[in-house]
Amino acid sequence: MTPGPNEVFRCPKCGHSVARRTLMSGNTFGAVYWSDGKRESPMLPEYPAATTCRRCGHFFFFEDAASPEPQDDPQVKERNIADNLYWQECNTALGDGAPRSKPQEIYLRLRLWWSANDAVRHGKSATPSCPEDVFRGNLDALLPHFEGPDPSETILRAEVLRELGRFDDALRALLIGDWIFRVIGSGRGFFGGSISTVLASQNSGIVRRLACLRVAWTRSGGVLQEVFFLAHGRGPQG
Amino acid sequence: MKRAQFLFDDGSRYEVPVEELRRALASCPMRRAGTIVGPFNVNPAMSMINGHVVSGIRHEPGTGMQLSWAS
Repeated sequence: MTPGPNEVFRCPKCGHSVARRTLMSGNTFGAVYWSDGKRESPMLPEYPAATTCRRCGHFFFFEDAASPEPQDDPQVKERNIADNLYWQECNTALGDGAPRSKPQEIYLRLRLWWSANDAVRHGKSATPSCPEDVFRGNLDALLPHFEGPDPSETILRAEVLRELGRFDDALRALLIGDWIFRVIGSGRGFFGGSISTVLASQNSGIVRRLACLRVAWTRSGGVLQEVFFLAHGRGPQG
Repeated sequence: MKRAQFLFDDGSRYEVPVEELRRALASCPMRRAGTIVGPFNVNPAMSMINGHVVSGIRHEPGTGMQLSWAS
């Protein structure tokens, strides 16, 4: 991983300087992919796309600020580097109507979700760190943004529904579209048998949950294929 | 269901017995009366699920059972 020069922005409201780290290069060695879509990659860290001005409290996206200034701005010290976003900050920004576009709203809602789940992710709590109504309200608000045919959207929608406890809807979401699967290779017999077992134990909560799990954040659609296959509950011999 | 497969965007697959998966997730916090598990992670390179070593098999891209879509 090679860090790049810090970019220095000015708060659109008060002009206070804040810096954002950049990367010259990175990789995903050692990356951990979580079922809620978060990727933690030590060699490819994510730097925030928005921040709260430490002088005036104005929340803004860097893309809405003026072009970055030279990094040697004497006002900018290490303490002025933008921090990662936490759920409280995202929730406040959403409540204040800070997002100016759909991608910005999705960005904040995903970070709210991931930040709240971090407590569970890292074993600090059995439940997300934000209040239940905030957690559910955020996931409910995410759903309309993931109704497109893109496989990654479909998988994310199913995961949102799963975390809302709407397992049947999660399974149904995976069936949206006119996709037809076909099996290539020599695993037909094995997998058909596996699916038969799924059908036999369909009422088992754990099986139902597993069928809805998105196990890796991918845009290839590969996971979707598998989940769809499981969710559909019909193997090549079934 | 006896086996679970996890697919990754490099085309590789990680196959693990469901019992192993359940064992790995047993320590994972569950919400809402045990109906929601996770988030959790899968690391095929280390053969681990959520930090627990499991006896899974990694299939390189293009090997093992393949699924594809026809539209």
